[in-house]
Amino acid sequence: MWYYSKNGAQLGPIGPAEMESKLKAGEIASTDLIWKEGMADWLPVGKVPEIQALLSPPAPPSDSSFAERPAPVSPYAAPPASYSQAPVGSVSQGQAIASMVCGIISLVICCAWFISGPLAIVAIVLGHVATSKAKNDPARFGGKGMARAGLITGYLGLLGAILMLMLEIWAQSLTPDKINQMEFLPQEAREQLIQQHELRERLKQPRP
Amino acid sequence: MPKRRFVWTWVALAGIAAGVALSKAFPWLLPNVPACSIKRWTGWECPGCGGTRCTKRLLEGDLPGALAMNPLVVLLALLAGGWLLHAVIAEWRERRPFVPSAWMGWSLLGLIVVFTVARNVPSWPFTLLAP
Repeated sequence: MWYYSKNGAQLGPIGPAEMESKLKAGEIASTDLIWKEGMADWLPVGKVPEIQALLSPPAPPSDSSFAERPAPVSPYAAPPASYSQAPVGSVSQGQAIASMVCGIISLVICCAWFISGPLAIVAIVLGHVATSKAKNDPARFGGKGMARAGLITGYLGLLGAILMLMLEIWAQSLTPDKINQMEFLPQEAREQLIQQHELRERLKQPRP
Repeated sequence: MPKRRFVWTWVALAGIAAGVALSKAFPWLLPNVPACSIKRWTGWECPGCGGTRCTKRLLEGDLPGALAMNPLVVLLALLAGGWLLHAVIAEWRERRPFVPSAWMGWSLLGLIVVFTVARNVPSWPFTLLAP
């Protein structure tokens, strides 16, 4: 019984015959990941010896009896060296997901720039890392769309955080007169700003 | 055989620990949480406004109170908690957890935008969305 993965969704189980027909029909590509009981980890179709045999060009009659042949003792005991070091997640999308999650959260709490700014930076860094990984090694790293979502939301969140920070800095330079002239602000906001200004002035004065 | 690592189980345990720590810390944390700058400058409710009060009520188990403060934060918390529970179960059964895709992220983002606009409409059914 084989399990296979398409676009991040786990599908199956399917029998060997169905597997063969799906492979031949191109429904499962050679870079798609498959797994069956006994395998250490998910592998791309191209790296599984048993499937490789199914896909190899039709030919010597001796090979056509493959189905009847008893399964080799342990065909999966040692995955190729490069895969034994692969993280447990096969098509690794962790960074892309983390990027998207951080990006969305940074947008939700864009008003608190000291939280949303760092989150947005994390989203941007992870988004770029995930995108370049997916470009270089699509068999092992997916999640390009999520990485893009993370990048866009991350940059927007960063922009919002910077705007908020600049607003805060500008507010520090206001005097009560100026604040009272800004009638577009809600009354409460003006009172609060004046209070903050007074507090700062008091702190500036030399201690007795 | 790669060693099984139980990543999500550890994440879930860390999340529970953080929740307990946060609920203990709230009494002296609350007065120090700065107010939202968007609300201060424009008077509008941002998508996160009421989020702190909502989190406090959620940790106390007061679901109606939390919903009244910020339904979006409740939804996000439910989504995150539900997915984490699913991932832990999948991990123990040696299955792979379901992975959300990009369009789900974009629809969530769309929902957030709609929510932000809706909670600023100053008439009855929409005022329920504001804290």
